[in-house]
Amino acid sequence: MLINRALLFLARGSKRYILRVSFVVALTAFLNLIQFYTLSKIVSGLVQELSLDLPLLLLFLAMAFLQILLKPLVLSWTANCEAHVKRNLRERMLEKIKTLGLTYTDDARSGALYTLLLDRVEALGPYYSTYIPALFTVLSVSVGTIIYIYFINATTAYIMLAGLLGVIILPLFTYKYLWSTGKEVWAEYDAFGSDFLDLIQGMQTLKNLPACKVEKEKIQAKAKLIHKKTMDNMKVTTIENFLFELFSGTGSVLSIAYAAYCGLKGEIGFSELVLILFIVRSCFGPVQVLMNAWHLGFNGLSASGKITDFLKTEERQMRSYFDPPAEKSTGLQVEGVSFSYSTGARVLKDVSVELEDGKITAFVGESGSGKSTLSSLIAGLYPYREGKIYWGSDVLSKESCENWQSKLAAVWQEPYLFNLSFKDNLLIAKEDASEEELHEVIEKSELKDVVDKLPQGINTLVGEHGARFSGGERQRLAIARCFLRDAELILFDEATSSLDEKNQKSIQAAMERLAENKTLCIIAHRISTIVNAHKIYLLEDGCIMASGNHQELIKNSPEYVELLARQASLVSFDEVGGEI
Amino acid sequence: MKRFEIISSLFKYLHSLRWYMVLNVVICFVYELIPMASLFLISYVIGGIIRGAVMNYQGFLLALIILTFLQASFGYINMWTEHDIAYRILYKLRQDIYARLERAQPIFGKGMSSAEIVSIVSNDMNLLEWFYAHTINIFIVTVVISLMILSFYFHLHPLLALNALLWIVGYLLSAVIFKKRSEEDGHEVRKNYGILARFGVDLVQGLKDLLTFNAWRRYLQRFGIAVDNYDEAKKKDALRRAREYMYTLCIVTLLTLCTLIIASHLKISSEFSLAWLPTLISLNACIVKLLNKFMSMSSQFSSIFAASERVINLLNVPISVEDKGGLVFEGPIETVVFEDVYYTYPGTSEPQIKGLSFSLKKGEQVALVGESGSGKTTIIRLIQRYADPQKGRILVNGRDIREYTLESWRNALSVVSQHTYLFKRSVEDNIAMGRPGASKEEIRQAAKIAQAHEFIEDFPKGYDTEVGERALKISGGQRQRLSIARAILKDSSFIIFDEAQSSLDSANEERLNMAMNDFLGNRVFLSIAHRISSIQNSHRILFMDKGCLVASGTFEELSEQNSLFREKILGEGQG
Repeated sequence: MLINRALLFLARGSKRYILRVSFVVALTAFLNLIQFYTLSKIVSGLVQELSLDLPLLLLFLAMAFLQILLKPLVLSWTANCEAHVKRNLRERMLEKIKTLGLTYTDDARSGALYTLLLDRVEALGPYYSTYIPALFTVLSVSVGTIIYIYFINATTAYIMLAGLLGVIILPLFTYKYLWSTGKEVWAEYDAFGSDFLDLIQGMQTLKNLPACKVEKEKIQAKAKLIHKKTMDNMKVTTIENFLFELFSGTGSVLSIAYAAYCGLKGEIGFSELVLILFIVRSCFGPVQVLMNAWHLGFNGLSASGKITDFLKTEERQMRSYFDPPAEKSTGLQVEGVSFSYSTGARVLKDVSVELEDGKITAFVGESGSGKSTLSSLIAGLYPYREGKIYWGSDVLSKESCENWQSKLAAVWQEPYLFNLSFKDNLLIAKEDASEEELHEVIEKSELKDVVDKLPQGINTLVGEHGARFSGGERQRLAIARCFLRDAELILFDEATSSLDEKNQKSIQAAMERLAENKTLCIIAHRISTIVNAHKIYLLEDGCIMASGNHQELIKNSPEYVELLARQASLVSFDEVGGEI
Repeated sequence: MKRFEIISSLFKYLHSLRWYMVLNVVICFVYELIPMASLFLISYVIGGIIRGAVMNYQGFLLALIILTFLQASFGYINMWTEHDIAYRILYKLRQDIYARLERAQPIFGKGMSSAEIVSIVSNDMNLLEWFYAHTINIFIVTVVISLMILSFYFHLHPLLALNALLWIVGYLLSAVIFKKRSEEDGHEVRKNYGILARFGVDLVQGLKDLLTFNAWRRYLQRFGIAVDNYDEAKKKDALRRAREYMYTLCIVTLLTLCTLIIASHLKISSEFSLAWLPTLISLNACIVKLLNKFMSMSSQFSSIFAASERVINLLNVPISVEDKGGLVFEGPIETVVFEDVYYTYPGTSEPQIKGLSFSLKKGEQVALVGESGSGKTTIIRLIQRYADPQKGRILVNGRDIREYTLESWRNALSVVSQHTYLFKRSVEDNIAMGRPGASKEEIRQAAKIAQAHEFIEDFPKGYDTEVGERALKISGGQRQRLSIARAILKDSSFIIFDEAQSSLDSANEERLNMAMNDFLGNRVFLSIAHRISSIQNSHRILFMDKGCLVASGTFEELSEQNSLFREKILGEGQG
């Protein structure tokens, strides 16, 4: 018998559904009891009076009929209850995922997060839809039967009660061991699953490495460990089952045996004996269901801990609302912003930058200098706490974040492709875009040739992580999204360096079209792309080292010149060719 | 795949445990028989009371106490043995699947996604537990016990046996009647759960883009619809199960009803002693209980078989390259020669590489250039023996590479590709995979050559920093430098870079090139690069177009003499 606060916490909002199922399950059990009560009367009547009592026979059939009629209701309410509990939980978890935001999903293994969201929640369902109703039935109908039998023969009732209590109470003692060994099994599965995934995804790489053999042995040892841990858990389960059998055997067989023993001694009459024979079975039917449900419910119990922990994870909130400065500034302002990820040192230290309206601003710096973090902060993706970010009368704060985000669009280095059709991937940016609009943006973002090659055109499914698409194609798709979005600010986290010349040119052309009349912020990895930027910020170790346009920086910043010099020797032929 | 084939494949894995399985069936039989014996005894006694027979009532009570204890004990051994058998087979299967996938990689064409494979290895595999632990034994025991009870009934009166047989058959028919619908519903439920799961994964992994495009709420709605559909499918399935229950409940009620009628009829013609009636009713209940158990098993059949089929398919993934060579390659590499090599990808008609011939020798640094799809990566796959050429051969030190064992040959190569994978473990462990057992000093040395040492030291935990999920916290350039470090640590005589520097910023690329020059020495170095800066300094450039080698020479030679090179590689004449 296990109901605790954590489990009730998880079922918040679904209690009505659980009660409804419990009631109807108990009702069915009650009808079954009446049915067997009637049957016993028929049998003893037949044996003693040698005649079939017709009204009783009809009652017997009526009870059976009612149970049959109730079956669809029981099962559909059970399904509803489970669905409601799971939906409710998933909604709460998703809300949590959103509020925790990217800093959390970055840190945690996102794989673990979606197993939690999908499989673990799935496993929790039967606890509420099956275990609790079974428990309720045992406590009402089975206990009721025992009380009835008490008035026929007290000792028989005591034996039954002993068996029943044993079945109900036993889990309280075994639970702890089941829980701890069960948790180990789950953990072993998780570890195996995530290692297996890791190795399968990296198999191409792995096969080239001498570590291949070692890894194979390791994963095979893990598979064996699952067996070992499962059997450890099984030890507890089998012992528990042994006791379950012993208790239910005591309650359902020994009680009748004792009654028959009394019958032999002449203490109980024949018809009462037949009654006991039949309704004891009916009484222990729900107990059997409870024992089975316990194992289903238990799977959920071991899942509940992780879900509860996740729902109670501490949130890092973004700074709260502040009033924008009275004198209206032009351009997006970042003022004195510092930031660190949940673990580790500061990635940004007291950074102030301005993105002027309608102009191009660029962040440059070596990898790890903080330029990508800064752009994600501007996009409202990280909960910054120190400093201010605002644009005219709009400020970036916890309260106004969604409104803020509605004004911007971004092309990230590795745009995510959803497991939808190509078209739906574009519609992420604008739900109600027309076909014409879509074709226009496909044209503008140089995706025409890509779409033409797809087997079902824009209705083609893009597959896991957009496996069909190269990095360059994905970026162009992200640019197309930005076109649809028609935002005022575009953030462009450049990835041109991993692309061939052709892709690079396409992206550059598309970006130029996109940025017309917009405020553009480029996170640049190559100086050549930003020679024309209105203002360039040079970042180093999370600080702004210098700012100005290309010419000014060349004049005033030795660091910039150094960065440039290092790149100049590597500048690609066409750029040099272009300048000569 | 037919069910019969699936079952015979599943039985193959049972072979080594067959005596264990026989033992379990016997135990299971005793376990199921005991409660019937108890009930038989009790109802016999109750019947005896009405007959007025004299019985040893203390012995009777003692017998039942012993039986109850025996039942619990056999329950214990039964549960232990059936699960032990099943989980032993499962871990063997998991090992076999991994070994198979390792041999079969890379799966060309429509391979499964890695998430699907993992889902088969964890979820589907656990459904097989049902097959091995709870199906075979219950099936045999149900048949045997039913026959026993029927012959007992026959002994009492043939009509009783006929009656029971009729309803047992009726009960079992439900499996046939509802089979198709049950399979459809099961399929529908799994399909909808698959869709739901996909949306769930997207919500978690695509969070950044969803937030940026304010699309979170809208995507949540899509997820909501997927949840609706899933719930709907589950509900439909539940209602079908309800109909099945209704059917079987009817049968069970009719069984009791007919038994009562026959009994009262037989009594009148006094061919039968009514003292047996409680026994009959009790035994009927026992049969029903056993049939229920069997049916609840068979309702899982469609899922079990579908899952088994996926598992078996995974165990039979085709292997693209046979490891037939017997020579152990001991290196170092002196020459690599392609001799008129043709390669066509499975499922395509046009060869990706057509009659390719070239050679590399030790100490050479060679760049492969060409547009996407010109066959560069295929060359590298062939060298790695991820596939074998259909025509022509590749000679290393004068011998066909197929003569060497795969393991020894692959050990002689270090390949870094654009998307080289970093494993979810510490940075140090990732590099060390290049040479298990390498010392910390050697690892740091390799990282220094790869220009990775500095940024690793800047990580919060230095070399002990864990590489995150999909290496998100590490930038593309850093990731590439880590994989280069791994390749350097491997210290083989043939180094291959497939776009290995594409994400590096220019400063790091320059430093890396300089360090690499010192490191390469007498090694063979083959690289694919798009950036001109990366190929300028190669000793020789092989220029590929449409699967053929069209020109080779130094950068200067090609850019002066070859107009196609200027157009396609230098991007001139395209505006």
